Amino acid sequence: MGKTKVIVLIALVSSVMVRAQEEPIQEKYYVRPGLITSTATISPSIMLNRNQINYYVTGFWQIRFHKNLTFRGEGHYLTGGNKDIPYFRNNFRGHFGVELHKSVKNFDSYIGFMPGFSVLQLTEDRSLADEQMTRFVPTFSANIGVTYYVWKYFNFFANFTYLNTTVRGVTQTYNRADEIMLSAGIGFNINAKR
Amino acid sequence: MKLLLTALLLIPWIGYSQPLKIKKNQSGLFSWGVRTTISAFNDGSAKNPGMGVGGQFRIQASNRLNTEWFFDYITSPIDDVGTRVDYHIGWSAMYYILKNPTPKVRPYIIAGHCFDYSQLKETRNPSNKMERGSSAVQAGMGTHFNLSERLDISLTAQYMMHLGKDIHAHVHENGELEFEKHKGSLLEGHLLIHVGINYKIVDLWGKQK
Repeated sequence: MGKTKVIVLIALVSSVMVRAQEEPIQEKYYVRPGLITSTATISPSIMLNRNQINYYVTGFWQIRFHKNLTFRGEGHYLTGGNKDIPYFRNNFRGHFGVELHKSVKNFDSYIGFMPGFSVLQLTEDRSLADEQMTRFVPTFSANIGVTYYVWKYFNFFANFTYLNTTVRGVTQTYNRADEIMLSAGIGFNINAKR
Repeated sequence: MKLLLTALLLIPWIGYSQPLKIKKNQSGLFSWGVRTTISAFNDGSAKNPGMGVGGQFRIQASNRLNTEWFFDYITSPIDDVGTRVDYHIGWSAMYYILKNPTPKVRPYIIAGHCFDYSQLKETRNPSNKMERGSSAVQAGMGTHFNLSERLDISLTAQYMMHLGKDIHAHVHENGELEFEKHKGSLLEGHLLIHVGINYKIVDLWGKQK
């Protein structure tokens, strides 16, 4: 019995000794200037001026040029919706702007503003002379989101974007086409600065 | 087109996260940015507001004087029956009211000149249209919100007066759309509100080491 006690005591002490020799764990923070983030995902959007949901393939890139600021570019390509006769027949949106960030360790939150444009066609184009014409529409967007950087190469993100759009030159329809878009998923990141 | 896209992508890389090196004062600072424009009203019976997108670059002349070179593309509805499109390309001088060159909020007075092309068109009958190329002068006030040493968000309001012939639309009670052109209507124009994002890239006259 005494032998057993000694063995147990040695086992406990040795584990403590090994633990004491481990190198201190260093937390790694990835959120710093030079961080480049990019991804592509499927984003549903709710149209605020009509009862429709659209689905976009969304891509964005973001470059952190200051501890609290990033440039951000976004592209949204319409792939479909929940209506048989959707408002947009085709739609591609492009936006470029800046984001203001608040970061705690590897958790990052942001809010931003992006001027942009939309190249679109309407399904029910009421302008008789310009059937299905392609239109270039000035737009802007504002977004808010969060990102959690889990590794030096990828992150999880969630983002809400308000897209302001008014289509011109279409008669007898209400042509506000604002949307709220939700994007979420895995993003990819590298840091260009060591 | 590819070259332009590559250049646009590379611009943020030129000086990201680097301190801005300036020689003596802010003279020579070159910055670049994008902006959204709201045209608050137009002349004629249909005074509908419009919205546009554009860009600008700035070359600063001294601590208190800056120049802005811009392009805007603006579309406005003419009630439900037509569209007005305005293209503006021009420049402005900006005079900073405060002496301090690096405050968080930096108000300025702005005035300048631009060339413009406007087209008014009826939606159902595009052959019913009117267009005009002219020059214009604009003046107003604005302020930078300096988010960092290099980046500012600028809010500007200015009135643009077209110096050439005035064109505008009248929508009659029966829905008929009529365009009119008048000579020498000096005060014809629109109130423009810009929200811009601008990034200082380099001091052009400073030594780059």
